[in-house]
Amino acid sequence: MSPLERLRASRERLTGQRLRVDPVVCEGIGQCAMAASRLVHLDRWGYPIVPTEELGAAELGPAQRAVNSCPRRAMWLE
Amino acid sequence: MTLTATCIATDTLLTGPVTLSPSGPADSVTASVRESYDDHVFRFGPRPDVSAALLADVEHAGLLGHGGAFVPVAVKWRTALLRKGPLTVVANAAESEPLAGKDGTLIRQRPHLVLDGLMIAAQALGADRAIIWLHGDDHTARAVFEEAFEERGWSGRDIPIEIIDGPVHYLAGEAQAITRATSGGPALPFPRRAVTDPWAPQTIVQNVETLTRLALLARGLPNTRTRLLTVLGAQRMVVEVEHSTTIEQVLIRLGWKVAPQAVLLGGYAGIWATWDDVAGLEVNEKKLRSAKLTLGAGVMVPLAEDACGVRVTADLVAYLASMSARQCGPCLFGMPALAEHWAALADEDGDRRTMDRLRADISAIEGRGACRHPDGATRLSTSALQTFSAHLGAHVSGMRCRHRTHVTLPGTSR
Repeated sequence: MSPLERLRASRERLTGQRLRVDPVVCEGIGQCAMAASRLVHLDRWGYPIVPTEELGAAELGPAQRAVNSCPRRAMWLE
Repeated sequence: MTLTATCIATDTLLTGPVTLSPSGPADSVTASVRESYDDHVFRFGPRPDVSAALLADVEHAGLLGHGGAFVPVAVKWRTALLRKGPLTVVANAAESEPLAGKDGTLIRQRPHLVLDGLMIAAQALGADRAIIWLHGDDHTARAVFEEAFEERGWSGRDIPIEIIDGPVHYLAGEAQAITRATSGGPALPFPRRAVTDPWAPQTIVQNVETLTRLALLARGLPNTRTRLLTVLGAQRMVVEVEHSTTIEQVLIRLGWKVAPQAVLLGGYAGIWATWDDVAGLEVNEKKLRSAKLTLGAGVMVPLAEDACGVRVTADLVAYLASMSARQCGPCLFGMPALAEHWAALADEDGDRRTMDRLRADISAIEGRGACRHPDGATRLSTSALQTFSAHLGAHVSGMRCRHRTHVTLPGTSR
């Protein structure tokens, strides 16, 4: 996500939710990055890098899609 | 019971400094005095009966964990007391850091103070199980504890404490790994998920030095003004020094004549710092932390002037990568990548781009591991890039490394 996008998100209402990954369950399949390409990035080994900050209201939808897309159930909102 | 017992003051935890075998369990090569149960009771009095009210004293005294992270004991206790699930209290005696030997030395010298501490913690928290968790190859510690049980007249089913041998692995002493192992899983770390069920089983892991300090506190005795350190020089030594002792004074006391170029603070996953930056610093953890440093579990490795810090770092990162839990991406791929970059730099096969790739991989894996193990490797790498920056310049610019002496730290041989 670009700094500008992050700034926009920060002006929005924060949801109090964070996107979390269980790195042990995660197998680096990469579905999450396809489902939410602006929120989830992959490192060079294919494992997801997710924002550590609270999600803005507009990010909640993509985050939920990333969670739902994972075939290993390695992601959740907290 | 001898009169000499009264002569030894309670202002130190150890009965004396020891020289240990180069790595592995804290078996001393010099004579070390083990305090018998009679001497222990004579000096400290019987173990006091405690209740959850001890939490207030623990909080007031500001007792911190001494396993390396310095987590306030009161924080762990309050969480445990709020929840209702069956509780296991673990005395973590697994010093999986290859050089660390202060806990093992404490166990060998004052096993009864450790046992008291564990029993006090278990009683205060109303625990259902009390466990001593050992590193798998620490057979002496097991023998010491079994002997201590006998001295206390515990036998068969009357032994209130279980001794469990963990695996022989770098991560065996990691608190989450112990938690998982004591509840029937593999001794591997796992990521922290928020626990919502107040009745879920829970485990509290406390380092053995923390427990000895708790045993003093519960008796109303003052905490010692000392810190236990393991220092690797020509020999591996465990010493107890006042908090106000500077790092330079520690080395002088241990017989160093020539100043080292740098010091590795905190062990194999520690922080490199140049000698000029740390020589005058006190071993007081609070002061070290304000300088963004830490001695962790009290391990110090001075690096001699003629040794190559890049080579030693490459060995260390390779060691850390080999000690992976093999569970998550940063551990499976990130750490070997760091090790590869460092090996290239040490072999003078790398250039500026190698350093750029190293920096990129450091920031890619930082904070993303299932446990803190990858973070140890990134922190070590970052500090090495800073500390040895001038020397790294020589390594990547085609000039030959001028350090001729090969220093190999125990367990990291290629």
